[in-house]
Amino acid sequence: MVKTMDDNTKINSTFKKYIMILLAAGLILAVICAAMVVIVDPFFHYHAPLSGFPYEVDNQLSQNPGMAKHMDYDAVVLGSSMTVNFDTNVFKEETGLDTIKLPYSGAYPRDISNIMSIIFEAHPDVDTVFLGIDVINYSSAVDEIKFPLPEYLYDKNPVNDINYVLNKDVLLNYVIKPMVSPDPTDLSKVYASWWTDEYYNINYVMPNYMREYEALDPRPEELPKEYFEEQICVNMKENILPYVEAHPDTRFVVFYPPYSILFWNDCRNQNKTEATLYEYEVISRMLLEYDNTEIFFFADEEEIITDLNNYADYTHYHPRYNDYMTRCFADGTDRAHDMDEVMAHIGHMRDIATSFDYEELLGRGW
Amino acid sequence: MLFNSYIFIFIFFPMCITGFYALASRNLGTAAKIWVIGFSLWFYGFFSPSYLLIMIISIGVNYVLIVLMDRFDEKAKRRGILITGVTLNLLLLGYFKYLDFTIGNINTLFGSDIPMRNILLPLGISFFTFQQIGYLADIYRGDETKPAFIDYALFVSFFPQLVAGPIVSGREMMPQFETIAGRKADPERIGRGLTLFVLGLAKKVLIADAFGRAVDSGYSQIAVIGGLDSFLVMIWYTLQLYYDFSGYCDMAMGLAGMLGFDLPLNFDSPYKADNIVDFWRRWHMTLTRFFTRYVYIPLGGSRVSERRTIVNILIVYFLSGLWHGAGWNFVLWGMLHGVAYAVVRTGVRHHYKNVTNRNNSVTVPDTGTATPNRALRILSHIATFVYVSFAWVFFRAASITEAASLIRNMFTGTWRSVNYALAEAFVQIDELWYVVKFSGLPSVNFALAHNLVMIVFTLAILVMTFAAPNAYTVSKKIRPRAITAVLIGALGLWCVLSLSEVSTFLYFNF
Repeated sequence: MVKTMDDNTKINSTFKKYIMILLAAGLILAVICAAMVVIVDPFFHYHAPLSGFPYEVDNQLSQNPGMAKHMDYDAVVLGSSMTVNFDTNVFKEETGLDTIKLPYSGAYPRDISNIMSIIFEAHPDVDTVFLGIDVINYSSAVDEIKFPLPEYLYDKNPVNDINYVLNKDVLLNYVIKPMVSPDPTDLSKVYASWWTDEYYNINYVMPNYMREYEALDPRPEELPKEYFEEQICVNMKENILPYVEAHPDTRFVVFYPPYSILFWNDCRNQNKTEATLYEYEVISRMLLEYDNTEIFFFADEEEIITDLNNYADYTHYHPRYNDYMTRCFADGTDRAHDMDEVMAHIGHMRDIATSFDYEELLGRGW
Repeated sequence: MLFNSYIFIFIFFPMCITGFYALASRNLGTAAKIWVIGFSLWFYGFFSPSYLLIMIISIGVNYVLIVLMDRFDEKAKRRGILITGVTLNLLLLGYFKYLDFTIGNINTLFGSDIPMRNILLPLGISFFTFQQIGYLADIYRGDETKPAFIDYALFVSFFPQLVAGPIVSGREMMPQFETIAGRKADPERIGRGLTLFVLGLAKKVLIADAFGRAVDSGYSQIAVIGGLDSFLVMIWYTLQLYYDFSGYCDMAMGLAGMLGFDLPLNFDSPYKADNIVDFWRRWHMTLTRFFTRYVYIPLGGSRVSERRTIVNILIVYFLSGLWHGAGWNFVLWGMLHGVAYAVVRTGVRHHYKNVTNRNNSVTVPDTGTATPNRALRILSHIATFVYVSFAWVFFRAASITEAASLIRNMFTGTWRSVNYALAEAFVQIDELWYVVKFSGLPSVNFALAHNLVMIVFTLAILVMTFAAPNAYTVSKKIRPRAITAVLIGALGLWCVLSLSEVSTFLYFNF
């Protein structure tokens, strides 16, 4: 059948209406979804948390920048997974500071720099930055980050916020799910590791460690002591010290976490113990040039690091040692006031690392 | 740029279509073409500006060859230009796609240690290279005439089909370019195109990506999954690949349709096929057409002896395998199809000796009439689906060894339960978490709830694949009612909300 002009006009008009309704429906629903995200703002990108909303906080990459920007605090805890088990209630009790945790698993110096830039822009008067330094990560490339960042939550471009406001994951998992099945996160323990007490056990740690461990025979030639020095200096100068310098009224409490003796076994196996120890020296020397820095040296806590019942793997210690470190920050235990004290700690660490009976531990038939 | 990205949906395409009709409807045909070419270059350059340079050089060199061929009447000279053109195109493709594969084989064969180049494959190079080879061949044969440069540049770079097909021919696109001047926005075409785009987007982001998670999970733990797990992974990948690639092509057709262009259908419900020959009439139809026109027929097609015809078929499928990927697993995949194709074709021809294939195509008589009764036909459907799925294992696996492991699992692993991580991959789909939550089952049995979600989702998609009309047919038949518009609008939004997840098209690297 041949279509007449009237038929065509009618079809055109019907389809025009169809297109308009389709686009309008999509647009109206989009506005509703976006409004829900903006009002609840589960990543705190636009505003502080709504009181009474059961926020779920479990995504360091997405939620840390918003928390840094829009929450009230005196102090922040920065670092890697070594810092996730800190309890900010203990900080309050011991130091009197309202503290928030903004850790990044496996953080490289650039990760720390990224979040510090947000912190200091929003809170230039922040009282204290507690920074856990993993020396082995400080010889990374200066702009290396552990995981790709959702840039739209870190930059100032409002256009790419569409990734946030029209995002099914955000809407379903962080806006609607908490309403349907509320399980609000206790911010004092946010991001805490999933290991329960029974995992902190040598019988759990050693079999897992031995599964991956391969004794190098022969061992590689010993790394020169200064092997990491240049890259560490670049990282410190680019990613950490600019903030120390620019904020003389902020106290930077830097600490070296207590890795287990297995960490030092890896260093021994790869013949880089001296190079690793020298990393502590280089970083400390650079930090102590500033009046607003304090160094706490926990790496050589012999009783902790030689007992694998304190660990869930070769580096991650029981949360009670996070509490212990917090108390130290308050009372000054383990603080290295100057390079002499730093060198004393390094010397102690060298003694432990070189005299420990690794063969006995590894040879127990795990 | 991806079709399934915010920038494409909210900025790129609205700007492109608005400008196109503003120019075309004012009879500014050339300006409208340049406008679309400009957007196509932006689209392609968005991936990587260096890719763009490669494509522009490729277009330029091919156009020079077309001009040269047009100047000469002597067959020998024209043949020389054709051979030069095909060689240059294949060299380009070979350098980017097959150099490391060749080096790897040389190293294996001769124990040499030539370093790999690790060259990044420009997206869609297999598609635009083949399209240009086809055009050169058509000019050589006299099926095409020399186009204006702008038309040729638009033909190659036209963004809807640029990076993953369909592989179009000059004869179906050039006439459409001639009608650009004066073209006005046609509400029906735009409405149907928009609908097809949304359906394609939904196939990609809501279905293919959902299966993709489970497939990735399965392939990452081949050593521990059981027999039923491996079988399910195989079926899921079969569905993932179809919904991914055909979803992309639906979007391409929808976009082209909104601009007033017709792209050829690339997928005609391929899993409804009842044998391999039928499958290749429905799967990636424009690639089959390319190989038929430019490889199979020049080799003699089916005008030669039965044995030679079979060899020709095997050559086509060997090349098809290699086109899909630089690896022996792809070659094996191609040969699995080639052998099955030859067997089915021979069987059908013997069954219908009176039927001769007069049109020199790879096709055989409609096997709808070749399969005698309903029960056998259903069996034939299932057998074809399972065989195609089995072959996809070699397509998806990183190596033949990995494929063999998955297949071995099906015969040696348990069929009594499903690996929890696989079932869980479906509950990680945000929407399905709510289904589980409100089913009340988690309080009874959490694993059962996850398994149920997995089974229901898989069965629903299988039923849709086998029984429902495909997106193209739906878009052609849809009635423009208000409720339909609301539903399609809501579906579109749901897809847009899913875009923040990282997702890439499987066919981009082919």
